[in-house]
Amino acid sequence: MVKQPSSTSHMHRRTQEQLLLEYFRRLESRREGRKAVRINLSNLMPLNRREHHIRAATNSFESIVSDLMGQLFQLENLDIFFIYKSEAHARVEDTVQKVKFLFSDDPLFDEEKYSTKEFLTWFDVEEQYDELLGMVQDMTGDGRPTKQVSSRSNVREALKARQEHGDPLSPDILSRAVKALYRTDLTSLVRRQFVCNVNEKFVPDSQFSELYISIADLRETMMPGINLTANRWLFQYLTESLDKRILSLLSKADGSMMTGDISFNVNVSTLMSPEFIAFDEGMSAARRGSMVLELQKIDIFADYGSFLFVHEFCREKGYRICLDGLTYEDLLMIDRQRLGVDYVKMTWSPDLVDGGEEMTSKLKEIIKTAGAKRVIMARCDDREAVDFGRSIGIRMFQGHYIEHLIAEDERRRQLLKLKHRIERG
Amino acid sequence: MVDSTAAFSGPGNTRISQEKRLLDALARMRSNNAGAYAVHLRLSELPASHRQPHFIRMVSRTLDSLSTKQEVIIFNLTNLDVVMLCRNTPIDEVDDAVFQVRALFHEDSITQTEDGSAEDRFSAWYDLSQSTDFKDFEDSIKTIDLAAKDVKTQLSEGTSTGRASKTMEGDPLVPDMLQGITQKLLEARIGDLVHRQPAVKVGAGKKQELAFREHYISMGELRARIAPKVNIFSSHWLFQYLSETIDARVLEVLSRLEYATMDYPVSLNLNVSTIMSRPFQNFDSIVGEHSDKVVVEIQMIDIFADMRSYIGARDWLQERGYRVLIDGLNPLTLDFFNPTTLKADFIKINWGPEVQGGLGQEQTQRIKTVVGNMKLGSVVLSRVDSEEGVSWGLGLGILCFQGHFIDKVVEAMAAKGALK
Repeated sequence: MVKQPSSTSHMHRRTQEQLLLEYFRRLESRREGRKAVRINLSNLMPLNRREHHIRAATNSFESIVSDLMGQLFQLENLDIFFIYKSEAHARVEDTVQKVKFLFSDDPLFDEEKYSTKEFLTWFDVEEQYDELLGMVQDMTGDGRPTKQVSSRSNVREALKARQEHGDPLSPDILSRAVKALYRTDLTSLVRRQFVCNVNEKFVPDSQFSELYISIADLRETMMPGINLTANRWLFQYLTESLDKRILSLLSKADGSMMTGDISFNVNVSTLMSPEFIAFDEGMSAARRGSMVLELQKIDIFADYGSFLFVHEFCREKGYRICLDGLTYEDLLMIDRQRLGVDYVKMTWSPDLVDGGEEMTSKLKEIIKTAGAKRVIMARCDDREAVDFGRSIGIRMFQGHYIEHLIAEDERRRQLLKLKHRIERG
Repeated sequence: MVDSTAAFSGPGNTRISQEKRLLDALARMRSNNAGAYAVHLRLSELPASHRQPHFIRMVSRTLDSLSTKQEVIIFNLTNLDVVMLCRNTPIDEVDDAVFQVRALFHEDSITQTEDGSAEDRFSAWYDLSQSTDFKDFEDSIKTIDLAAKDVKTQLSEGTSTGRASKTMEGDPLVPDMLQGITQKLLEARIGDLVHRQPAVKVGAGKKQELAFREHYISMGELRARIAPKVNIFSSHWLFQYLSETIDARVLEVLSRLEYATMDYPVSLNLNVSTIMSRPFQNFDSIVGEHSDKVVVEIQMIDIFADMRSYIGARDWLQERGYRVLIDGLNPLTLDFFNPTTLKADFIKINWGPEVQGGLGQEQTQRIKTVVGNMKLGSVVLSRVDSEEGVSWGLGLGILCFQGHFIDKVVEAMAAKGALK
C-alpha cells in the first residue's frame, strides 16, 4: 500500500505548488479585482477523497476556467486553490456549493461540530496579496519528494537533493518514525486507486482497487522536512511497519473500505509475521479470494526460499498475487507464468514510446506471453499511456488518467439518467 | 487441539519440552492404542534456509484446520519436526494437511517423494496399534529428545561466501542500532577479516586455471567483532543499509593490493550505490589502467531495486575495463528468470541443497539454455562443496567453479606448482 511518488514522469515537471507560486508572482501588478478560494479537501474523510470525487470537484470549475475567468491549482494534498476575477464571484459561489454537495455526507459538514471555515477559505487577492504569497511560498519551500539522484557522484547532487527534498531519512529518524507510526491514526492517509479494463471507447471497467498510503501525506503529517525515500533500504524497512498498520486497518475496517476486490502492497516478511497470520485468520475464504497482494520484485531475490514459501501459502489460501513496479527491462527477464504470479504491474513511462519499433515489438511479445489479462499498466497520467498500452496489447490500466475516465463515465451516466427522466416526463 | 506452548519458542526453552510431552502422551496411549496413529513431518531434514521460525509458524497455521479436531494433537519438536497424534481421524483429512505442508516446500527435493512410501523422507506414518510401529516411533522420538540438546549448534549453520546467511542468533537488528554499528564498522580493524576464495575454470583437456579470487568479508567474524549480540541478518533491508558501509571498508583494504603485478584478477562484492560513490572513485584511481584485474560482484536484489542505476553503473564499469558479475542467483530462479539481458560478464549460481537431489528434465533444460546463451566460461557455479557439484555443473555446460571443494583442488594445484 505504499506508493512512492512517481519519479521519472515528473522529473522535469513542476509541481502545482510551484506553478501556483509563479502565477502569483505574475499577478503582483494585476492583483486588482481578483479573489481566491481554497477548498480544503484534505480535511475530508479519506473515503470521500476518492480520486473520481476529487476529479468531479475540479471538473465543476471547468466552465469558469474556459471563460478565462479563473485558474485552478490542485495541491499535492488534494486541496483546490482557485483564483478568479471578482465578476465571477457568484458563479464561483455556486460551484463551491455544488462541490460541497458532492461531499455532503462528510462529518466535516456536521454544523454542530465544525464551521464552514474547515472546508473553505476565501481570500481577497488585492488586499491579502502578501499573506497569500507567503502562504504559497511556504508550500513550495517545503520541497517535493523524489527526484532520483542517480547520476554519477554526488556531493553536489546530494546537497542539492537535500535543499530540494529535505534531509534524508537517517537510522535515527527511522527509529522514531517506526515508533510514531504505532501511535498515529493512518486512516486519513489511505487512498484508493482503481485498476480498470479500458476498452476501445475508453470506458473503464473496474477490476479491483488498490488501497495505499500516500507517502507525501505521511511525510507531511509525521515528518515534515524529511526525505523519506532518500535511502531505499531504510525506506523499505519503514514500509514493513506501514504494512502492519495497514493490515490492522483492513481487519478493523468497516464495509466501505473493503468494497469490491482490493489490493495492497506487502513485504514478504510481513506475510510471514504473526500480524498477517492473525489478519488471515479473520478473513473468510470468500474474502481472501477478493484480495490481491502486491509484492515487490526485490523481495524475490532478497530470499527466494521465503518468497516461494509465502507465495505458495497465500495462493493456497486463495489470495491473488501481483508483482508490482516492473520496468521494461524487468519484464524482459521475468516469466510471469513460471514465477506463478497472477498479475504483473508495469510502470508507464514516456520512454516506452521513445524506444522505437524494436522496443514496441518486444513489448508486444512480452504482453502476449504474459497474457493480456495479466498485465496492468500503472501510473497512467495521461491519454498517451492508455493509447500506447492498448497498442501493445495491454487492457488493464491504473493511474490518475483512469480516475479521470471513471469520473467522466460517472458524469455520462448521470446525464443519461437525466435525459431518460426528461424524456419520460 | 493444539499444544502450542512451545510452538513459537526456539531451542533452549526451559519449560517442559514438547518431546517430553509427546513421550508422556505416548505412555498414556500404550494401554489404549486402538485406532491411534502418528504422523511425523521431518521439517528438520529441510535445508537450513527453510528451518526458520516463521516458516514453522506457517506450517502450524496450515495444520490448524486439523488441530481443531478433537482427536488430533500436534507437537512442535525442538528440531522443528512436527508430530501429529491421531485417533480414528479419517486418513484423508490428515493427508490433505500433510499435502498442504508438502506444497509449501514444493521446490525441495525431499518433499518430492510419494507420501507414506518407503523412500519418503519428509513424512513418516506409524500405526500405533501395532506394537512394532509403536516402538519404532517411541525410539525415534527419544533420539530426537536426546539430540535436542545439540540443536543449537545445528541451527547456526553458516555459509561460505556471499552475504546470505540467515540463521543466526542474537537480538534482531533494529534502526536504533544502526548508528552505533555503522560507527564500529568504520573504526574496526577489518583487514584480517577479508578472506579469499578462488574460482577455477576448467579448460580444454580438463586443464584447470584460476579465473579470479573473490575477496570477501566473513560476516560471522565481522559480526563477532562489531556486534556479537545482534543478528545483523534479521532484516534484509537494514543489512543492505549496513553493507554500504562495509563496501567502503573493503575497498579500503583492496586499495592496498598491487594491481600492476597481480597474477590473477580479484573479485569483490559491491552495491550499485557504492560504484557511484567517492570510495570507489578513490579505488578506481589506484587500480588505474589495471581494471581488467577487477571483477565487481553485484547482488541481484540490488539490481532489481533500481535497474536504471545498475545499467548506468554496468556501462561505466565495462567501459573502464572492469568486469561485472551478477551474484545471488540460484538454479531455481533460472526457472522464471533469464539473466542474459543484464549483459554482465559473469553470472554466479549457487549450488545448493535444492538441486542436490537432481532436477526435473524441463528445469535442467532451462538452465542449459541460459548457460548456452552466455559466453563460454562466464557462468560460475559457487558453493560447490563436493565433486558432485562439479560434475553437475559440467553436465550443464558450466566451466567455472567456486566453493570449499574447489579450495582443496586449488591447494593441490599449488602443491604441484601448477599455480604461481
